[in-house]
Amino acid sequence: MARLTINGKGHDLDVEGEMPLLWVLRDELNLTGTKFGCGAGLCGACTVSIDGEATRSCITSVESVEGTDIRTIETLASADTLNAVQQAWVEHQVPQCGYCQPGFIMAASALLEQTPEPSDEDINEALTNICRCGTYDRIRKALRRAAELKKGGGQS
Amino acid sequence: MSKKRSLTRRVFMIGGASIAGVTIAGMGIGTGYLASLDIKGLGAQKSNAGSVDLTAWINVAPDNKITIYVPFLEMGQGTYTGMAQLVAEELGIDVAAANVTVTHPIEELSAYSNWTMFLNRRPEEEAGPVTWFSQRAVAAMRMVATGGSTAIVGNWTSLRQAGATARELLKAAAAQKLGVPAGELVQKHTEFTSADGSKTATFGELAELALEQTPPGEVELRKPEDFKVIGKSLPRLDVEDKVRGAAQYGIDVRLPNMVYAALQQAPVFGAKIKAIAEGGVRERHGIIDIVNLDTAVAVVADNTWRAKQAVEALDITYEWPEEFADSAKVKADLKRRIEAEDYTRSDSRRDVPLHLEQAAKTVEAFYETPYLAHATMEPMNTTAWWKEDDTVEIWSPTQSQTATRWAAEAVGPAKEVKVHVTYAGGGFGRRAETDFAIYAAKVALALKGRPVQVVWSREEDMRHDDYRPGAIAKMRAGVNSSGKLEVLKAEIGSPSVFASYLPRVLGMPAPADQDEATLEGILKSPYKPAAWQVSAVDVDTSIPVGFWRSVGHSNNGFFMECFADECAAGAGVDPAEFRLANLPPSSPEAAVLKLLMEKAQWRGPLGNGKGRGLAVHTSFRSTVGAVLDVSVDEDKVVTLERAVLACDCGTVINPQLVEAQMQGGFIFGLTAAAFGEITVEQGKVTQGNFDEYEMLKLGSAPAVEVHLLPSTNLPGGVGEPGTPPAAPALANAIFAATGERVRTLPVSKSGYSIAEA
Repeated sequence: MARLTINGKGHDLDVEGEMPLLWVLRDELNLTGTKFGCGAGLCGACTVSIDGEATRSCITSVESVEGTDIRTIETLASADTLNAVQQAWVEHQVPQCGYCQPGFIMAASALLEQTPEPSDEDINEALTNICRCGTYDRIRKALRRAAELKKGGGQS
Repeated sequence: MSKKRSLTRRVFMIGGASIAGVTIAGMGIGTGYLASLDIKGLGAQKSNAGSVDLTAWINVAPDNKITIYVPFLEMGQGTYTGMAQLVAEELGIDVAAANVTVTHPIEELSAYSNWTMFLNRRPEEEAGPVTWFSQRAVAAMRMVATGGSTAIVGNWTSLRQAGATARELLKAAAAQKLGVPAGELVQKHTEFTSADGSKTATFGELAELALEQTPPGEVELRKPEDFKVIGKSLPRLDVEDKVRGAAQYGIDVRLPNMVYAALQQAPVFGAKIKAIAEGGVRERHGIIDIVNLDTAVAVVADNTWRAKQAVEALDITYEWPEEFADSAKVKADLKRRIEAEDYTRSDSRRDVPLHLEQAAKTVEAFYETPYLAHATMEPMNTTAWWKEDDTVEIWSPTQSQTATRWAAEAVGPAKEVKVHVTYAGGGFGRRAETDFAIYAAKVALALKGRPVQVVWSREEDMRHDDYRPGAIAKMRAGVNSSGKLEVLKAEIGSPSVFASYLPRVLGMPAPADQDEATLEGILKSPYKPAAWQVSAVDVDTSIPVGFWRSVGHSNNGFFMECFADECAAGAGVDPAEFRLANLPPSSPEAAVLKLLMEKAQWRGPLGNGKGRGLAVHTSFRSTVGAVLDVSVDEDKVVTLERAVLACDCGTVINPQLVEAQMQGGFIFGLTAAAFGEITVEQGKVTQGNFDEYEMLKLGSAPAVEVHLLPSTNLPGGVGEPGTPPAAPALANAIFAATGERVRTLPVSKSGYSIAEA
């Protein structure tokens, strides 16, 4: 048994302690916004936030995150408002197939929480996810825009 | 020697038979039946759900919800948005409005058949009885499929006709219902109003009445100068779902009582499962079943991870094939056949040896490319539910809806198979295959009554792909003193994509002739001088090959555009000037090149250790040119500094989507050129995950600037043409920076690495 706090809600789960968090989210709780890409922490499609840190959930065991604050892509937006990163992603029309984007958005959101004005190097270091559609150009622009939006400079 | 093959020259893009073959098939089916097929889908009828289908593409519900059917897989290329724009142009609706939805239809209508892809012809080119028969023969097979960058190309006219037909029917209904002459009605989105605003009716209220109206027959379509929706950078219709994590991909399908399965496929091509020693695995927590699939073992569990752990714990023994495939041996065989001039096909004009002998300057080069995996971000998967009454439902991110249905029907005694097409996390040709659906259908049959989702691990996905064939090219040319190409001899060696795909997926025989994919982009090269010879060699191999974004162009673009650079250097001419001197002046390639030289400041200054590489290539009815700036340090570390692309893809439906496809296609090609290589040793693929099959990332990918050539020509494809120029632009840029010709891909084989930034 494991007890996890996901998106502010407590869950008692009948899972092995070594099960990666990804598969708890996807198959036990049907939170499918967090994606499976590689299973080895290489692509970042499974990125979630653990106590505010962008974390690859496919290599993060359930037992290692008990008692933490786990946040997934499903918690970023309310019914009618996207968060600043999501808004910027829409403005810059970032997603193509979109499969990797929840991971990018989680990594970008965590980065901007910690570093509101990231340098290019900060961005390259924080966003090492893989996008097979090659949306990198727009990701960089959208991330800069998100930083602006978060600062309250909603002007375009 | 090419004469006898002229009849079979026009092979299907994915279909295998020639137009002649299809036409004969069509004649066998019978003219009367063929004539009865609704290939345009412009009819109107009540749907099963009580709503109204106003054409095959538009559904109107009583509550005024409008659904646009897009029978092409939305895998990132933006087909939902582009297709909806074509409908909206004539239907006069706002596709972004809350009451408009775009979806993949479940029904496989004749009108959805991808005739353009299978026969490699535009509808606008149609003429004559051969076309009449072939188009209907494809429609009779209901070949609903996505590929060859054909959705817009094939439906440019038909979707606008559908929009206009629906509009006219609704307008006539409004006139009748409101008692207002049609000419005095004002349309606003999905509503008609009388001129004075006193009377109003929505599409939903009018749909039933629209069925009673006389179809308008030939409708006049808006002229380009009057376009209101076409040519506009509309936001993607799927963007908000995708940033919310709410878009449902194949892997996200969740059904009541559904279970999960993981696969272990026989690790060697051609091997089979001999025995499975379960060793207590069945008793593990959450394990439901272990299924022998002949070429794979599936473990079914209540959780994907448990299934995966369990399948890895099985002790499986295999029946090995007689011969073990080896990618190096394939290359060696291809080389030997080229040296022996043992061609599968050869086309030529004039006396090529003589012209080579007489040329002022000859240039010769040998190029080599590797096998490549698709590596879609969403690994292969399908969900299948084989019900007790033998009806089957399948949820699959598939580019081959109809072939998926056929494949499921072949698995067991299915009464009816319904294929739900989901969003796909990338496709790039991989999802034109049916292996992932077949495994799911087989597991579902074994598990009858319970839906099951079969998800491949990344390693299974990479090791059991249908690869872009590795190819070789021996290129020779004669150039005169003023930089004019006088003779060209190209010998291309590559396993045949069609010979691999057709028997595997469509149950059709391999083409008798070398398929066009091996030579596409080179046989009809715009550089071809008066004397030329283009030949192909093939080998049999058990390494499966398939359609990989831009297919043969991904190889031939590299060969031709690197060689053009070498010819320019041989003649002592600037690479851009050399191309301009040898391309027909009125060609799209020349126009794109001129735009590119201006936008990329071709002659602009470059620092020490920097190089600027150029490539221009036409594929899928569009021309894309690229200039790539790199810097290379003394350790051969390459920084990809900037890319500028110019593109002529005819009429542009949505500029921002085309820009995205060009950027994405180019990065896809650049990633492969930088790192991509699949090797097969002892029948097994060596690479397994992204640490062994690397990708460009945010820090290493260049900014990609895109310029579109204004055009009112028929639209060309955009999903694939951005890929072919990438590899040659990189190799040419490295040459410009270092003086070293990189003739083998990926460039890492020559010691070059990519700066992480």
